[in-house]
Amino acid sequence: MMLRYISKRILMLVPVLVGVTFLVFSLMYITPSDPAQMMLGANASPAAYAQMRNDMGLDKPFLLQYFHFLFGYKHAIFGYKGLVFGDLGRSYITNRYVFELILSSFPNTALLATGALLMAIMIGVPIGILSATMPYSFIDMFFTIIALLGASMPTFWVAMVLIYFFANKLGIFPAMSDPRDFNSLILPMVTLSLNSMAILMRMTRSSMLEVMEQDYIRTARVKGLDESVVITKHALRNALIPIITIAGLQFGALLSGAVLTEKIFAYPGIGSIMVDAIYVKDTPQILGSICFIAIIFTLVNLLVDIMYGLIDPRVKETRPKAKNLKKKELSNALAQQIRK
Amino acid sequence: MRLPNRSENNAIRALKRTSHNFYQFWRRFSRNKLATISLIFVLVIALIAIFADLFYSYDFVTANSLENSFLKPGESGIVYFQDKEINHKFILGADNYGRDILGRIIHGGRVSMLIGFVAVAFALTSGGILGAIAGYKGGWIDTLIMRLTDILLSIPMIMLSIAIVAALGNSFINLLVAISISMAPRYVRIVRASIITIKDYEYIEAARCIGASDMRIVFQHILINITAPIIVQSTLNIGAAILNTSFLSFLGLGILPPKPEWGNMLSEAREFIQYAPHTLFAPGIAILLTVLAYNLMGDGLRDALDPKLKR
Repeated sequence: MMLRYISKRILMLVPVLVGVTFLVFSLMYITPSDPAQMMLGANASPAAYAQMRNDMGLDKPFLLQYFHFLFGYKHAIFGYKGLVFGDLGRSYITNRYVFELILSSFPNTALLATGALLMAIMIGVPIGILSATMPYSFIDMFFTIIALLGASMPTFWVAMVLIYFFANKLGIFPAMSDPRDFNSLILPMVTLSLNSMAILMRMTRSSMLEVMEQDYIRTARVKGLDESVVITKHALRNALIPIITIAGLQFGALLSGAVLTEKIFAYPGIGSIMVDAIYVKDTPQILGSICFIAIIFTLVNLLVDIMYGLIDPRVKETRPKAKNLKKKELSNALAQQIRK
Repeated sequence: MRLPNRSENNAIRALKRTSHNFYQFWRRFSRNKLATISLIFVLVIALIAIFADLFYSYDFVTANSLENSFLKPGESGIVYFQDKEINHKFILGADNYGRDILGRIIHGGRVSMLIGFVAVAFALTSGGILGAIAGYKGGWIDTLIMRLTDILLSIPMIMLSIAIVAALGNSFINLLVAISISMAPRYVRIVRASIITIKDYEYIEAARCIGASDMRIVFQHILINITAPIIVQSTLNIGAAILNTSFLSFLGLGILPPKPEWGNMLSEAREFIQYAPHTLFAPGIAILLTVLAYNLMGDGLRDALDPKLKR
C-alpha cells in the first residue's frame, strides 16, 4: 500500500520535472542575450557568427534545442551529455563544467540551510510549546509579536543590520562567511532561520493547543498525571506530526531563501552562483542552477510527504496542505492573540 | 399613500442589506485594534504614495548633490536644484549621492504600493479565472491546469521571479509580470478548491434548474461565496509582493537606481554600512512596517469576514 503510494508519487514527479525544465529552458530561450555573440565579441564577422551559432546548436529549432538540453548535444567543443545525465557543458564565462560548480557549491548551501533549520527547530519549537502551555499570557503575547515581526522582515535587511551590529560595531562575527569557519556561519544561519523560526513557533503553538483540547488529554489529567508528563508524553507526541511536516517543507524554502543570504555574506553557495550567472548572462550556468534547485526542492517536498505518511498512520494518500496552512495558521493564531 | 413598486422595494432592501453587512463586518473588524491601526497605516502610506509629488518632486529625489553626501538625519544642507539654491532640511538624512532619504522612501513607496496592488490584482484575475475553470469544468481541463500549477509551484517563488526577470530584462512591467506569475498559482488552488466544495450545493443545482448559464452561476452564485478567503489571501500577498519587489531590486533585477525603490536603496546603503548606518535603517523599517501592516490587516480581515473561525 505504502509502496504503491510512493511509486505513484514518484511517477507523478516526472511530468512536473519535465515541465519545470521546459519552463526554465523557454525562459532562457527568450532572453535577449546572445551566447554566440558573447563568445566571439562584438567585432566578429557575420560568417564567423553564423558558424558559431551553428557550432553551438543555436540555429536549430526551439524544440530540438530543448531536446539537446535534456538528452545531450554532440559537438567536439560545445557538446554535452544533457541535463538527464547531469552534464550541461561548460560555463561561457568561467569555462568550468556547469555541474562541477553546482555540485561543489551545493554542500555549502545545504550546510547553511541545515544549520538554519536546526536553529529554527531548536528555538522555535520550545517557544511554541511554552506559548501553548500558557495561552494568552504576557509571554505568549510577547512571542506572538516576535513571530509576526520575524515573518514581516526582509531577510536581506536583517542580514545587513546583523552585519552592522555584530561585525562592524562589536566585531564578534565576521561580515564575510566561509563554510570552513564555523564562527562566520552564525550570522547567515541566524538570518536565514528567522522566518522559519517564526512559522515553526506559531505552528507548534497552535498544534499543541489543538491537541490539548482533546479528550485523552483530559483523561490523562483526571488520572492524576503530572502536567509536565501530560505535555511531553501525551500532547507533544501527537502535536509533533504537523510540526515535522512544516519543518521538512521549510528546508526546501530555506534552500531557495539562501540566495540572498549567500549573496550578502559572500558565501560560496548555489544561490550566489546563480545570481552571479544572471549578472553575466551565463546561460548554461543559470539553466543548470535553477533546474538543480527546482529538482531538489521538489524532491525534498516529496520526501516530506512520504515521511508524513510513514509517521502518521492515519494519513494515507492525502497530501497535507501544509503550504497553505502555515500562513493561515500563523495569522490565525496571531488573530486570536490580538483579539484577546 | 403611494406604495413603492416592487423593483424599488428590492433595491432599497438590497441597499439596506449591503449596508447592514458592511456594518457587521466593520463592527467585527474594528474590534481588532491592531488591524484597525494597520488599515489606517496602509491608507496613509497609500495616500502619501499617491501624492508623493506634493512632498518631494521626483526630480529632486533623483538629483545628486554630492556635497550633502551622508548628512545625518535632521541636518540641513544647501542643494543646487534647477538653478536655485535651496536650504534643505534632510529629515532622515542623505544617501551616498546626497539625495534626501525621506523623499526617496516616499517615492519608493509609490513603486512598492503600485507593484503590490497591480501584481496581486493581475495574479488574482488570471489565477482566479483559471482556478474557476478548473474547478467548475473538471475533467481534462482541470488536470491540465492543475499540472501547470504544480509545475509553477515546484519552482520556489523567489527563484521563479528571479528567472522571469532575468529572462525578460529589467523593467517595471517585467517586474510586475514576474511577481504576478509567481503568485498566480496560489489563487488557482484557492479558487479551485472553493469552487469544488461549493458547486455541488443544492442552491447551485437550483440555479442550474431555472436555466442560469455557467457564467452566471460562477459569478453570481459561487464567487460571491468565496470572496472572503480571496480577500484575505490578497491582503497577505500584497505584503509578500512588496517584499519580493524590494528583494529583486536589491539584487539589481528590479527597479534600478537612480529611480528610488526601497530594495535598491538598501542595495546602495550596503556598501556604506560602516559610515552611514542611517541609510540602512530607514528603508528597511519602511519595508518592515508596510509588510507588517498588511499582515495584521489580513488577519483582521479574516476574522471579520469569516465568522466561522470565531470561537
